[in-house]
Amino acid sequence: MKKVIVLLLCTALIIMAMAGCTPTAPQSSAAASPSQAAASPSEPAKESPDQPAAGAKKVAFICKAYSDAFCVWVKNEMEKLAKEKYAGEFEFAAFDAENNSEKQINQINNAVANKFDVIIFQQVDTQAPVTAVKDAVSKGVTVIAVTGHIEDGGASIYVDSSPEQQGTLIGQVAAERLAKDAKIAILQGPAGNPHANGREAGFKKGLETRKDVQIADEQIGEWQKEKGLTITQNWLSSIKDLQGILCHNDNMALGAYEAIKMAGKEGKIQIYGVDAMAEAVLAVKDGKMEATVFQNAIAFAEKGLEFASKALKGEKLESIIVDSELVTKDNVEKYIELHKQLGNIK
Amino acid sequence: MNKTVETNIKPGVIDVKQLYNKYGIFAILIVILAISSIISPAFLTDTNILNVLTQISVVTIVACGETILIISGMIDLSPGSVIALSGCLCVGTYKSLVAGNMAWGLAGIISILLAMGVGMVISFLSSAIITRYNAPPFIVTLAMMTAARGLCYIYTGGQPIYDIGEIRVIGQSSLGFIPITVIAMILVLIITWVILTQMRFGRYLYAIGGNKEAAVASGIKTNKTIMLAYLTSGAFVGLAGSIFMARLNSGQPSEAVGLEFDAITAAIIGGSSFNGGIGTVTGTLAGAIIIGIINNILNLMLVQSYYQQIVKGFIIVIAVILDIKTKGKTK
Repeated sequence: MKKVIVLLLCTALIIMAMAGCTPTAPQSSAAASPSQAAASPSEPAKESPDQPAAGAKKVAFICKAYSDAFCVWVKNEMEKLAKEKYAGEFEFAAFDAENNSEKQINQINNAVANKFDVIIFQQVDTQAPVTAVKDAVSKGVTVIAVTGHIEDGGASIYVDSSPEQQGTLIGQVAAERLAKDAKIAILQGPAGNPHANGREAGFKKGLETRKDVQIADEQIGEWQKEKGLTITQNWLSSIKDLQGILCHNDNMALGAYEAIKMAGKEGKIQIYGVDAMAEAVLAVKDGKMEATVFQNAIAFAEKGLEFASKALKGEKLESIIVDSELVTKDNVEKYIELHKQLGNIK
Repeated sequence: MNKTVETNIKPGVIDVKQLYNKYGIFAILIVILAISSIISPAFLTDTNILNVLTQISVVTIVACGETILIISGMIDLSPGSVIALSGCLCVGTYKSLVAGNMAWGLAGIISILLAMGVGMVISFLSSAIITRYNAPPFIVTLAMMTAARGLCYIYTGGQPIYDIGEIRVIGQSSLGFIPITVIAMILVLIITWVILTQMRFGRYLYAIGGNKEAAVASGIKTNKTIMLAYLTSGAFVGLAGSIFMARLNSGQPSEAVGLEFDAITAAIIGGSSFNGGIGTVTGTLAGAIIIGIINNILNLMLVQSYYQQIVKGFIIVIAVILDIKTKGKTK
């Protein structure tokens, strides 16, 4: 019996080796495909090894997480633009890294093995994918990071925004609007997250001119609306005269708003967020939030694809930083229009 | 094992060992209450007490379902995802129905029933696979957890559903001074208590959890009972999902991740045993309140997030050890 098993295993090994894939590819395509099927039925192309049309260029987009509304926004924009503008130039396929570094590394390796010419990705972590990216670049694949960048010494090109710039915009407008000696609290993104850290630094930088403002507490809301709500509810019990809540993202800010509304303190506490999601810009218009920051999801998508197209034509690429824009009641209409065009606001 | 099963099934008998058994977790609860009131003046205020009760409502409802399942030797890891799925379906459906000019009362009822229905369908699927193939509940419900989350993203397109309308009242408003979420929680607690203590179904659950072979031998239709247990839990989860999203005034597909672990922890702290055959709804409630108070007091005391995690883990371990020790005396 043992001999039979050993024989079968050897045969299996030989067959796998002869399939001509790199050792990581067979496992990762098996691992990646079911999760793709579960998470993204709307993908136009699949990454099966037997792709038709040799010579057709292929661009892969590895989304950080389909569970992250902002990242999905970028992905949706890319899919739309790829179809409208670049359909003749290359095929476009999107993948979900599910906020998992290891999965993302596998997807990068996989894309290389499946002969993708360009990989665009939103990094889950700034260090983890470096080896995979360098490997991809050494094999002639162009790697473009959007909505972030990784510490790979320039192997990949990035289209990034500066979380610190975003935070500073909010810090500055809060510095203008907060009353004297105001007490504020901060709702933070997950620990160690570069966006959270950058925005935190930005908030504090923007508030430098107001030494009288005290930060009564900071808590990690993990980008979640429910946590923002619960933490704020508890703050309202324990912090007397809370006058402002600065949040690293809109979800938490909107959660804070719900808590304030339920406690009957609407209008007494200023709320600030980042992301300019549809619900948030409407909240800014109604005065429920003071301000938010528009992370240019559209520019990320446009530039990402533009760079991909340029790379396929052999042009040289340079990393860029896309500026984020402050959204307040004065200019909110422009963003409401934008969301209407995107179909996020009916 | 048998002794504990019997004493749990006869609540009317005043058994000193059983009382001591029960007091274990309530003693811990009282101690934590006392400490919290001392260290924070904001703790015992009306507002804060109501806050804590609303904050634990969703987890407690799910914990009731988990208690029923754990008693019968089963488990369910899918509630977090099913809350997201059923909750988003509830508010999304409500929004569409009202846009189609349905009265909001009727629309609300339909939406909540739909959410409960979805919860029950998912549980039915899990339980069918578990009973038909004798598959481990852990793995089957784990798979359901992933699938349900995927379904939720498909339904919402990955984006939150906002502007949901009046249905938010079931999560944000009160009847008199009692929040509706708390009323729902109390209802579910009562139903669970009735099932576990007053119904034959409840006794079957304890029997199956205590010793499945003996239960089968004594003529209990185990598969049917288990499926009914899952259906009940599924209905609870669907209700919890509606409340969860209503409280957030939006359908959030990426939230409630890991909520089932909070619910299971509440049940275990409250005295349910993974071996099956042991557990009470009052214990689970005490467990849920303990966890809720810990979260609340750490927040009120402005304890830094990282330390909160450590403190929480520490306190839960102590509560569990103390509970095991008090239970150990009856064996």
